[in-house]
Amino acid sequence: MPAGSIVNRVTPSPRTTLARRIRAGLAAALVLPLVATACADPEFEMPPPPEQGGQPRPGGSLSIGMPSDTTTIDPFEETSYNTHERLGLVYGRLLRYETGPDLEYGDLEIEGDIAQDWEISDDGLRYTFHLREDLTWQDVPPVNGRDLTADDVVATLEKARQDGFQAALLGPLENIEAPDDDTVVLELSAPFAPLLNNMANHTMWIVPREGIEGEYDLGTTAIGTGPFIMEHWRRNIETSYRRNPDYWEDGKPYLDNIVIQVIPDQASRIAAFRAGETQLMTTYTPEEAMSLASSSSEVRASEYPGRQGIYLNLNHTEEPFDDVRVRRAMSMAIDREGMGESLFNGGRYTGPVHVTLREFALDQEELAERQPHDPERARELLAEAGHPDGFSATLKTTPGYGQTYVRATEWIVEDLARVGIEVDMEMVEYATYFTNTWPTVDYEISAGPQTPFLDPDEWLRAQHHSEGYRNWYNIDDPEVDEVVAAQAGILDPDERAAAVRDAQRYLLDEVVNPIQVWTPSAYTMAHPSVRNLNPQPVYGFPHMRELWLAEEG
Amino acid sequence: MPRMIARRVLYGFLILNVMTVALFVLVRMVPGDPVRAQLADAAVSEEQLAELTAELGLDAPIAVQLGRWYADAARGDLGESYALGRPVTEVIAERLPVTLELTVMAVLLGVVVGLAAGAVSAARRGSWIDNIVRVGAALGLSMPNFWIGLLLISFVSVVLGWLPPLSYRGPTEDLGTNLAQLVLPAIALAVGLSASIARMSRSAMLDVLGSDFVRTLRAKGSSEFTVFRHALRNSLIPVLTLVGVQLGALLGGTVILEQIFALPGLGRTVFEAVGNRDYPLLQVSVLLFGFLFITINLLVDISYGVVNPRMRATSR
Repeated sequence: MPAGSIVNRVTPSPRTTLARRIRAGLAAALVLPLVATACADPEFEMPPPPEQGGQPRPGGSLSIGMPSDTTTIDPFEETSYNTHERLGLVYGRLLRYETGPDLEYGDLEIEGDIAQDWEISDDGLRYTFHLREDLTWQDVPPVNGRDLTADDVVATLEKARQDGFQAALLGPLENIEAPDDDTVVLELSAPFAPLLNNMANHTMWIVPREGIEGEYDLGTTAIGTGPFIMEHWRRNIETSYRRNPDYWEDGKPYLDNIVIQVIPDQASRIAAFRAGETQLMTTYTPEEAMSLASSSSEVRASEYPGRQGIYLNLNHTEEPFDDVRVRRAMSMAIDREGMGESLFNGGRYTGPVHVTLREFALDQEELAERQPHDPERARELLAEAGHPDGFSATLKTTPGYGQTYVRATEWIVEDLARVGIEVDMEMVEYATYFTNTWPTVDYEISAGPQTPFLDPDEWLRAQHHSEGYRNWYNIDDPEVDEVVAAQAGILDPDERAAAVRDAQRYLLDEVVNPIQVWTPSAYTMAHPSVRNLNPQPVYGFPHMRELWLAEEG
Repeated sequence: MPRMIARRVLYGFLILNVMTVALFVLVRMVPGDPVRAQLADAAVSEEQLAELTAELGLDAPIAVQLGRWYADAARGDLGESYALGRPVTEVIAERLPVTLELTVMAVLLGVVVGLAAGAVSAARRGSWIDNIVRVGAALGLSMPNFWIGLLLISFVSVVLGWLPPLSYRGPTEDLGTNLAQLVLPAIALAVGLSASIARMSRSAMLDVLGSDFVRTLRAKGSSEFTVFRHALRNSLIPVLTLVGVQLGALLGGTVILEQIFALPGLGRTVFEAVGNRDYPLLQVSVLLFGFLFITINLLVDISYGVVNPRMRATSR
């Protein structure tokens, strides 16, 4: 298929003969299941992104196709993407990340949401949030649109601290109080730089006091201050929302209704999109996006750095991976750019703090420089480490994360073989990988993604600190502990960012585990009528309040 | 007949118990930790993990866990789903009807189309219609139902530029939408069944048409229609047996087809319960599939007697 043919293809006239449509249908039906597994075509050109700007047209309904449902809508129960993606439309939080056409993807600029502004004491121990005045809850019983007060915020944060998984995000929080109805004060026992970021975290939803006190069930009813009211959540079928007429931002949101449909199968999601049943699909892998774009001209595609990178995890205490020379050799053996071009139509280098966190991540040049492809040097390093003829090892991965990871892993296995490391690839089923292989470090080498954390502290400390809750590599080194923890106590944003970058340099050079492989692009596929699609790498569709639908035709 | 039924019920009960034990042990032998699967990304310590494991009773020996399961089940408590935090019975009550409706539609479709094709093909043996049916049946048998499902969904969306909404609606909510949603997966499920029924009924019909009593019928001057009616009725027994046997494949097919067509049924529940290592939900869902299979086959056996009076005499 010649490059560009899709982008410029003329829309077929509605009078196309039935025979031709049947032929097209047959072709698509036969090819579609195959395309999804075929290799990426490096020449393929994606359709352009949705249009920006114009006079917003209020009204209309948007249907989104997502592969799986949430198991609960209680914000304190589940950390899952599925849960918080759905809750973001309903709830507000104290702070949020800006969205809009002027921001680049990953510019995580904090602004007020429920809090209008805030102050931090000089010693960094006292945070004062001034809440927006005349902010009301959504008009849903039993809260019935009453005013939001500081009491609601205090109750929510207390609940999060006591029984929520959000407790870790609150750090050394000691006391929460509400001196008056519009002010909330947080007192810490030690400076904790991530706090503001964490208040904007996509799980830090503020909930009415009635919900916390059990007057209604948070697991089945969601009442927030967000742009949309959840009408109903039909388990495993759909979640539907209508516009919140009392939303505090004037005129927003523009859409009347949003429906998130649960369509587990990829081919069915594509078919539903093509049939006009859905108008938006998020977090598509390059091959999924290509499969859809090549079978439909009625589509726009936005490309973003994927929220999830590909990582090669090594068992840090097991021979020969306990030798940093071996780990460096393995990293050098991988031809990252070749992989990106051949398998994913591009993509980006990735670092210990994921590249979507632009403020903290190392830039592409530096990442490339620190992670060179040099098979010869890799062989020398192996020889120095006492493995002149290489060695053999077993790698565990799972098809559960999709073809992206399986194919990347196959590529890595071949690259490693070129420097003499014979890797035997063992496929384990998803739940086994996620519960009994990775977290329990029951592997020599494993390959897969990482959860898209939002604060560098999670990327650095949770993964590499000897007591980190996501240290699933057996890394246990006091020096590493010190390097990854230092940034959390620095309050000056620029100084902290510099410390975060230094820690990453150290990790890339001296720890080399997990090996940072690559971040393929992620695509959002939209119907051409969609305007102002400006997502950020956070859950909860924060951009939905600004999105609108143009008249069709 | 009553003795036969009593014996079969007893066998069914024994089989279900064997299934219960085998299932219980197997799912726990498969690697994967249900507690970690539920916690996924949460920051939890090893102590908290151990605590939760104990809370769910998963630290006890399997035999003890099995004993507890039986004791609870005897009191009508089938447990609570780990992943959904709701009673298993509640989840299943919600999802079973979808699967039943789909299966019944598929069986009806498969039987009607299969019988018609087989009968016509036998009556017009050697004609072009016979050839089409024979080739069609061979094709239908060799295509896996999930693949047919994928073809259907892609084909319909491109040719018609339309699809029934994939957000499921129950028959009491919106019958039209409900039927439109179930038609494609029912066709996908029915293809294999109707193909094997067509083949079976064709050869059974041919057997009967060549038998002595048909010759007698014809000799007595019966119309071809009467002959056909008798032949069809007599060829129903192997077809019934086939439906009973194929039902297992049909129920198995719902696991993937409900996934493809986004139907919130029992098949998809099994699929998800495996991924979540949701032992209580998995246990009861799979047992229910077994129960359905056994019950339907019992009904098939009983119906032999209705279709063929001779069976009533021989199967005491």
